[in-house]
Amino acid sequence: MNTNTHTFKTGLRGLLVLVTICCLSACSSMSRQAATSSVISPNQTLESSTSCKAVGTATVSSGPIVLPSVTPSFIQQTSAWVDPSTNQPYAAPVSRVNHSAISFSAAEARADVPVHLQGHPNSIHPHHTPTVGDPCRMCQLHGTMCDACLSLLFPDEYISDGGDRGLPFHYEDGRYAGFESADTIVEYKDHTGESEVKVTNRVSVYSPRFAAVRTVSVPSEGTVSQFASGADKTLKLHDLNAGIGSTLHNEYASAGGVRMRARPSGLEGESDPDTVGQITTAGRNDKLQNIFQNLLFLSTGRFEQSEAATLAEHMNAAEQWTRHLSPTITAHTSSGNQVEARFKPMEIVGLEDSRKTRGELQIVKLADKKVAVAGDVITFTLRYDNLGDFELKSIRIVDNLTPRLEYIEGSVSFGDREGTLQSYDNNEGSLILQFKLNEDLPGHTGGVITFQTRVRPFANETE
Amino acid sequence: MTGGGCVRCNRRPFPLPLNSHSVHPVLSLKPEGVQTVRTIQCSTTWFTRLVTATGFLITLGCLLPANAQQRYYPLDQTTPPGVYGKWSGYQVPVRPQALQPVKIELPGTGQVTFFSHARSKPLVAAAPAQAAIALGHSYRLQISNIQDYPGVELYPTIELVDVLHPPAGQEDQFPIPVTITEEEIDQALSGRLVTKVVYLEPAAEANPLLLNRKNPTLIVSPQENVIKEADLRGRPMLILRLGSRTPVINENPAFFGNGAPLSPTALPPTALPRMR
Repeated sequence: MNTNTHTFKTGLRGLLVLVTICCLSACSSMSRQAATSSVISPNQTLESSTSCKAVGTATVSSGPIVLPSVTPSFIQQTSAWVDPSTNQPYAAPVSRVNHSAISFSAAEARADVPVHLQGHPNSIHPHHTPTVGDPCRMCQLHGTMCDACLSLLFPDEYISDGGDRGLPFHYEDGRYAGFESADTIVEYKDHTGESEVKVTNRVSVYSPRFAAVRTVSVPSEGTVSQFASGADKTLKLHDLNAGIGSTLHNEYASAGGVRMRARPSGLEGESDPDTVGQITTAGRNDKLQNIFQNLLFLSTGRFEQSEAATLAEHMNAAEQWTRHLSPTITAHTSSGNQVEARFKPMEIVGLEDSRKTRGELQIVKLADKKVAVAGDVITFTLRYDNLGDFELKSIRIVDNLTPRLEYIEGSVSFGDREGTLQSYDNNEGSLILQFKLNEDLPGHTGGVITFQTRVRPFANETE
Repeated sequence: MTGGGCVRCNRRPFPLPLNSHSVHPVLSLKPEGVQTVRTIQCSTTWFTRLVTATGFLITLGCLLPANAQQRYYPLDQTTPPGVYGKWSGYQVPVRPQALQPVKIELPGTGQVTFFSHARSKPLVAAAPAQAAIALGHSYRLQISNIQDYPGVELYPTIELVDVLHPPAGQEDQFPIPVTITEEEIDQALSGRLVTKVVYLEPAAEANPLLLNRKNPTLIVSPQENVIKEADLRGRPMLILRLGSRTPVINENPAFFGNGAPLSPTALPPTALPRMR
């Protein structure tokens, strides 16, 4: 009897421990969920006319788009968010978020790609994730790592814009979620009214930025000399007090730091925005001419093999290539192969079958620079094409600019089409740019949107 | 009831009553004598222990992520110069034997001298001065003819702990900036040691309020680990140590370096930006 009572007590004690642990875990999950919901703030809404149809039976009505109001460091933690109902990382629960228009396996051999370009990020082939000591095939041929490899290994040295970093983009109650800075998406509807969302590729420009951490201390030998004159065996203990003396000196050092804080604040008023304007004009003229005069892909949307190197240079700009973010592949294979392949049946069968495929939007983001320093102007080009037969409607490209880039007012160009640009504060020091086409996009047509940004100049260098 | 013995502690008989064997810190209990009763008790005890152990493991699993974020930093500002760079050099380099340009900026005009070994063949350039140094070595500098500091000569050291990876041919365009301010010179002249860790700031981690500041500097107390603070905010690239020690006439040649590679590089066009 005594044994059974003891066993019951010990078992109950173990269960209590288990229940306590479960409660703690639940509280942790709730706090994480609360942190997730804190991203959505009702004070940061912007108008939206999008009505997205959910996959399956869920339907999301029109609603305001809520922008994330989190700090960049907090965003980095969003990749660990999980759905409490499924205990799985957040996917795209609503609408179809297509992270890559057309996906290819990384190792497949392609007949339309020269052998020496297969597997290289500068080609139209997706790039594998490199590791130190295991460079890509092309890099091994050249004996050094290519820019794309380095951008994958050292992303902190680059300014990246486009793609979908951190928490994957999705909708929560019709609102944007997982739309961190530097993310770029495009929303549109096909001829049936079904909405779709795609993520653009990521463009990286080499532009490292530095900061420093400083401390001031007093060398220990200076402290010891203060007590050395009185040192003998009986006063040895006083040598230990040298540590206290050092601490007192450290307090003086902190006071010096306070003076330092006052100094940079005095430099704020020394900026001279007029001096920046001339640089802007010069940079804009040069780069726009280079892009549009030389690349047939940007003017027609069709990929020519002869432009592979040039296009790769702009698009690469030490770009992050992954299997899922490989728009150049999309451009080459989708636009090239599909257009060529469907052109022949049209001639044979007839034009009555021309509108069979639903609209499919392809979007490619390019930068005109590979490297940039503070104050440089970077021109981004968004090339969009409708690869299907039917028209696409309500095309809207949303770009959440990285905080290191500032949009140059009035620099947007919609090319031959009409569109509007709206900008919103992303609460991270930059803007959310929303490019909206005012007209439908017929099948097998495309267009170009360009806009300019400036790498934020230093306040004390614009004087 | 106490006729058995513990196979681990060899205590015979058991020091504790039978109903307390469950709390005995020995797993194997095979006392002699009352086999039946004790077998039953052991089975229930194992069940209890299994539940408790499961709870302990779950608790440990919950605590591990929090503990994993608490990295251990064996290096700090008291680490002798060269140790951090040497440790960094043990990693597999992406750019083997590549020299990293660094740019020394002074308050106003001045002269910067880069030493490699003893006083022989130093590189002398006007500030801002740029030179390429190697990873894993500590270099001695001399800054002199500083504007508003007539006759002042300081001998700081710089230690490269990581390198940049710019596109090929653009290495000289992106040096690691080392900015020495007037306040730091004042503190060095007053006998203090200034330790500054220059780190690479990821774009996603940048403070939006400081984006228009060139090389923003965070000041921490001497009790803080300056290397840890830099590592938490980015990738430490270089350590500057600025004190007031000056070499004597017959100074040990090691004071000026150990003969590490040193190469002059041209200042990039953006070294003196004037956006007019």
